[in-house]
Amino acid sequence: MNVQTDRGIALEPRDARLADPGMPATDQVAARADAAVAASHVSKRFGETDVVQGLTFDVDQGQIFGIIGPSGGGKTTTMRMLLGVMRPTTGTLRVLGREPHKFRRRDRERLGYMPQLFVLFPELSVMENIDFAASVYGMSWFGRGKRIRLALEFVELWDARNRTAAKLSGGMQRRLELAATLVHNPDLIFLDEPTAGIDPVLRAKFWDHFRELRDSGRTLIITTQYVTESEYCDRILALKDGQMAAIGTPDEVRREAMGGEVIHVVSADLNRRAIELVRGMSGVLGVRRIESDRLEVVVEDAGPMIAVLLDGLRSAGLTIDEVTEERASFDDVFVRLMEAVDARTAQPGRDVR
Amino acid sequence: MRGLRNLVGTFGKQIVRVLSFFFKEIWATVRQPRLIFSVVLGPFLILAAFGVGYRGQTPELVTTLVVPNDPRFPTDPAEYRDLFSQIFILTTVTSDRQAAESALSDLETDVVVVVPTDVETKIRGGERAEFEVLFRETDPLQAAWVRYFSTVAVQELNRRVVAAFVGNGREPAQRAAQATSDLRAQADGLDADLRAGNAVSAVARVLATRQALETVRGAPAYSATNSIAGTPSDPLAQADTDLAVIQDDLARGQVNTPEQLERSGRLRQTTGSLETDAVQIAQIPPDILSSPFGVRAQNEVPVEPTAIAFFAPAVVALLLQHIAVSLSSLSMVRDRLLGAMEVYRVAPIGPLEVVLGKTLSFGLMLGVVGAALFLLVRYGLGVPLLGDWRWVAVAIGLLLFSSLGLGFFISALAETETQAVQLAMLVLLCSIFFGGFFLPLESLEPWLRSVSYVLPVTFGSLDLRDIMLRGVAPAPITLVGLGGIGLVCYIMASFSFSRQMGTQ
Repeated sequence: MNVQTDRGIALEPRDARLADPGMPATDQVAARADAAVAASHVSKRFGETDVVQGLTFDVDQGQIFGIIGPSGGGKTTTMRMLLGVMRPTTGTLRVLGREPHKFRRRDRERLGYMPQLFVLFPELSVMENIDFAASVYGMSWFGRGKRIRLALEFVELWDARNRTAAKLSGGMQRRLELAATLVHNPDLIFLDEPTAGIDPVLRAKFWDHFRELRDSGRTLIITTQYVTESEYCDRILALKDGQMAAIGTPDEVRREAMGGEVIHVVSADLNRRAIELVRGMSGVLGVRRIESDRLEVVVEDAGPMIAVLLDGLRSAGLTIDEVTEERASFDDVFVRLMEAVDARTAQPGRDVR
Repeated sequence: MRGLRNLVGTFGKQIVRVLSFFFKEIWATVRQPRLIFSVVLGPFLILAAFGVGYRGQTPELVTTLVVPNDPRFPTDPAEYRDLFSQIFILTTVTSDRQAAESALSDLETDVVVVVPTDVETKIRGGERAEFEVLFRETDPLQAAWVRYFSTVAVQELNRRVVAAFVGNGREPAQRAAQATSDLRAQADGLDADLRAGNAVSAVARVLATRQALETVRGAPAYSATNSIAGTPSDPLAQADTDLAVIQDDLARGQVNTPEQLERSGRLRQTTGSLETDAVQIAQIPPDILSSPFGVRAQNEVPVEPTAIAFFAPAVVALLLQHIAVSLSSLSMVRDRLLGAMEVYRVAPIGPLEVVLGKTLSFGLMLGVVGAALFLLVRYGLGVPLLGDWRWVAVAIGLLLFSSLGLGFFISALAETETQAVQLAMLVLLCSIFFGGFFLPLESLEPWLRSVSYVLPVTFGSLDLRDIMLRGVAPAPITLVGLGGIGLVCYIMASFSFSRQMGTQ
């Protein structure tokens, strides 16, 4: 099966199973057989500093997993532990069913890694750079031409293949790096802040590429400082100061950050009685008057609750101008998450589910 | 079968990985014209400039001669040029010493030679008359040259003076020769008188012979002549005895006895021999007498090399070592600074493959450079190749192996490109001073020589000189030395890269 992209470039699809069939049973993933990554209570300490603390998470195959958080939050350290560059101080970590520091060459051939900084060779041409990347991964001379072309066309650099890397724009260099990461057709792709410092249009293109890769069966683990990019991930892990702030799908994280789903009620008749009425309704988790005519109602499930609210308030004689579900922006979500981590740090003992 | 296929596949991938670095470095070099210029053309130009511009001569020093203010001393430099034929280029002769010293201070002249005054008085008084040689030289080597050639020039002057003196003193030698001829004639006459039984005449001959003998013995050149001729301290002592015995016999009336004839015969022989020596010595030219010993040094090498021929192989070794060390050390440091090491750590590649790939690449490029330099030296500068060219290839190959290893070792130590460049420059400095490049290893203290023996250029220079100039195969110990340096450096560098590329 081939997956057709919108540019008509066929990417080779990946088998749903990521675990190496030849791997001894004892080395198979301990937590979940189909997990690309399984981390349990993983910590990393440098000297007296805990850079990463007690991370527990799984990454399913064929999904985009975002590691999101502010600078210095432990994203790159987490990724480097997943890559086997660093070994966790405590906890257990399995990537492709094996502890990363015990990766064999065959395991590494299945990884793609795009570092945060541009590490291609400026004096080499686009073609030579990507050819070098293919060679480092042991791709034979006979079969690599097609893959190189595929990768360069995928990032729209085929026409620039003879230009030296030094003469490419910043965005083109990042695309070349992505192509070099993909050229050997990896199963598990690590992208360390791939969209940092590039313009929004190109950023959107990158996410198109990532979705295409996911749709072709690959697993992507992406770190980013842009919290709005959380929306593009299938699951996210939010980190602050090396601690897990949240994990789940974007909606789950949003719900967790906001305490539930949010409905805004707009009415000129809002009064104390109306607020108490709403607060007493089943399924309502919290009520806050944010403006004189606007209530923020936190509920477990916004869908059915909109009708319930409308009926209840109208029955009480209020004129309702508007009832809408509010999807909090991830900027707001992350502010809440970061505040929650700060509060948790101030009050040890609370845990994040 | 499947296992074999896997094995072949794994091996094939390793070759691909090694060659990835091989081609990467070649592409990177090809795409940098300035690097090509510095790596390929740079050494060519340096070597060509060396070959064309190196004179291999002792320095030439502008010289001023200060002579006494005496009409016997001319002031035309041409009159003295034959005395200043070494490094001294005589341009000025003056009797104004102060002006000459000012010229020396103003660097208008390099050397001032002051002829001593009252030479005759000093010598007659049993003193040496000393020439003063004044110079302002900060270079100790140049200063040594000045002192050496000053001594040589004075010795030459002394020799000429002695020759002139001996030439003037030929008369005593000739008088001594005449005296020995007279003595020999008296001895012949005595022998004839004895054989004729003429006792009266024989008695008179004995007296005349004794007188001639004393004349010879009293001649000033007698002892010198005996010394030069290698005769006993007083060859006439026996003659005294013989004359005394003959005189006694004649007094007793005995004449023409066999014993008398034996003694007179011996007397003739002694005086004849003495006359021959004296005449020969009186005919020796004065300059031979004043400086009887010369020297003829014979260099037994097949072809005596010129200064360029001697230095060129060492220059090739030094250039190749420096380029190899610079390229390999900078290459790894640059990869690290670019962040490529991070990618290598994640990729299925080991430090040995990285190092091996780079070694093959640099080895090939520098092999081409080495071959080109060798051809330039051989055919451009005319340096002889008396040995087998295949030994040249072996020596250059091992030199590159050890130099690249040294470069990789430096890159394991250096954290920045600046540090790598500085360390490479230190290696270059050590090579110039301690690598036998222009200072013979024997001139270094033994403990300092140990530094020489960890430098590839030391062995490379020895090998190339042996092969090209002596026509012999390199000493096995030098080849082992090159291989050993390379091996140790590669092991240490690989160990360091393994740590850098391993899990933290």
